Amino acid sequence: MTGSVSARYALRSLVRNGRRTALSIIGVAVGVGLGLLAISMIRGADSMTINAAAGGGMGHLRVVPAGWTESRDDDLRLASGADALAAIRGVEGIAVASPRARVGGLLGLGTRAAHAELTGVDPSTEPQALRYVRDVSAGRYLRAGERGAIVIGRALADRLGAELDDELVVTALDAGGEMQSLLLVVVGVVETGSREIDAGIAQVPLADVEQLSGRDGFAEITIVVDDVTRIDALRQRVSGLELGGDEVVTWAEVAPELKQNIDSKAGFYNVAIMVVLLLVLLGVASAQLTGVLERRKEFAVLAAIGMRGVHLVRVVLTEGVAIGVAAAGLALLWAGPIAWHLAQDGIDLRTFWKSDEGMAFAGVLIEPVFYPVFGAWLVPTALGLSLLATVLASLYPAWFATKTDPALALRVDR
Amino acid sequence: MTSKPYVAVAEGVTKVFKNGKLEVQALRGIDLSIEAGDFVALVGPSGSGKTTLLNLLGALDQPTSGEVELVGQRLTKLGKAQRAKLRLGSLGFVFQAYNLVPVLTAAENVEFVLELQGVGKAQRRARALEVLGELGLAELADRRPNELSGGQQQRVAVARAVASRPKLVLADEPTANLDTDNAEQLMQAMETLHDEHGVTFVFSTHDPRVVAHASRVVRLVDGKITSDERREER
Ligand SMILES: Nc1ncnc2c1ncn2[C@@H]1O[C@H](COP(=O)(O)OP(=O)(O)OP(=O)(O)O)[C@@H](O)[C@H]1O
Ligand SMILES: [Mg+2]
Repeated sequence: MTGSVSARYALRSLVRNGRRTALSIIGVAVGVGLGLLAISMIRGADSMTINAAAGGGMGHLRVVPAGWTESRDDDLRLASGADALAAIRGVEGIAVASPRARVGGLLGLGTRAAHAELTGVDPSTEPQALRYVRDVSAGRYLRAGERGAIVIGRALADRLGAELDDELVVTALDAGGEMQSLLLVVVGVVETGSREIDAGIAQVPLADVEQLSGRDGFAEITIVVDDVTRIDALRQRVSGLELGGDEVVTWAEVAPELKQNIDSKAGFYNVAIMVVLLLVLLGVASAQLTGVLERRKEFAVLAAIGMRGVHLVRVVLTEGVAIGVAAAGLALLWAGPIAWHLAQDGIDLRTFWKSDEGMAFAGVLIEPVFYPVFGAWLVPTALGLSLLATVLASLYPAWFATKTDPALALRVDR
Repeated sequence: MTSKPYVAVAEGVTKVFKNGKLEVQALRGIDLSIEAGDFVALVGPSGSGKTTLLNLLGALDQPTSGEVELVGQRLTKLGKAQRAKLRLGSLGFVFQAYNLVPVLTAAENVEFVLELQGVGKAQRRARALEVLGELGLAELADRRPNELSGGQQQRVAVARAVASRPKLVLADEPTANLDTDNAEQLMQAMETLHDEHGVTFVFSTHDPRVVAHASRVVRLVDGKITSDERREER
């Protein structure tokens, strides 16, 4: 860079107006630093939302019967069976794969009754796929191989007046339209902190749902992955397995409204970041324009001796790039450590949102603490945002510089 | 040295400046030929059109009518970029003031033109030091303009103007801001370059002592040439 005289000219001109240059750099660094923190937090909040939804039963990926995405019909069953499940569990990067099937039925205890959707599960994997059933507040969770047992949420238990070891009668219509009944012993009660979520928890062994519904097999296999960023790659891997026509969908397809929510939030934050950058850009543009106006005589002399417009543009853009690089460095210097600390300690939403109830959003219990994302991506992002602002800001001043009349060089202001 | 080529030819050149409704006839029919090796003083009262003429000979402006031909190229046929190229390749300039880029050293100021011409790094540095040395400025090569006297600055400007070996060097009142001694030194530097390297100079001035250095004196009055004398002795 310093090899060329015009680069030296640009850089030393910045140094000559050190105070203005410093103010420009600080201005850009503040804006870009705020942008970095915002992006770091949005990314953290997004993966928290996705993971909360995944751990709330949705999974990152899901194997569903062909046609389920359109019909959302819980009566459909997978072609895949135990072999496919074992193959999926064997894929590296998959934390858990848990099969499920559902049936709607009426739960009764004495004179009380409540409608509930029973989820048939594999007790050995379900607590890893649905974190709400990990901590059973009373009793225990289902056991592998067990039959005739049920774990219900606190809200549902209260509605039925049920306690541990009570026998519930469940009645459902099977595939042939026949009434089926079963006795289920309450072995555990779950308390998530959100009554909305508690009201929806009614888990039984998969075999009981098979019996009640008169349909054999799984309705879905819910998959939780180790690393959110690998969702798409793992979807490819799982799709490549022998699934007999079943489809592999992501959380975004299972819950498009959640995806939309995340996207519209991202849109909003992007606009906010762009507004900050635009303000920064205007500041830099005005400083750069002042710099060009001050050097009109200089530029006129240079234009007179034959410096072409493109050269002048290059000089002014070099200044913009230099300001941008310096500002990116400064932004990383102040915002980087903050992002790092936030990524370590997390941000506790309870400091902003005082509530005894758990935070539930669209049927998902949100973790009250989320961790902003810190990583090497901050460097290119800082450079990108910073250069975007400073290079764009230099365009008009650069164009203005090319408009300098070289004949001005011969005219002496008196 | 009988048939010297012309480096600049003006034929029936007029220049009219319009300021709103006011029209100023700055040049009214100039015929002038500058030969290679000329050392021309352009003299005349203030407002007679010296700067305007130098602007045209320097391809910095276009005539209102008539034709200017510079090193064989017709000015009216050239666009802005082509004129810039012509200036860079064939012309040198020394202005009355603000010649040098303040953040660059004397040598870098000279190098700048060469860099614009695409001369390589080592070569342009060597050439800059060579020209500065010839004008007795070798010691000052690494000083910035604000560390140089006005006279030294003007001599660096002359070094820059001739470094690219132009066909014609134009100077508008190069000594106007200098005291007698510095003006004399500057003229001697220009004379040396003229005598030893055959550099062609056209300069305007109000100073009779500066005029005394010229081998040809063109007098302008009211936008017209009133006399054009060659002197063998100076
Ligand atoms: N850009 C311009 N716009 C309008 N009028 C101009 C312009 N440049 C020069 N003129 C007019 O043209 C005439 C010639 O000006 P010019 O600068 O060429 O004179 P000059 O001989 O260089 O004078 P001086 O010795 O004072 O420098 C003057 O009347 C001047 O006012
Ligand atoms: Mg003048």
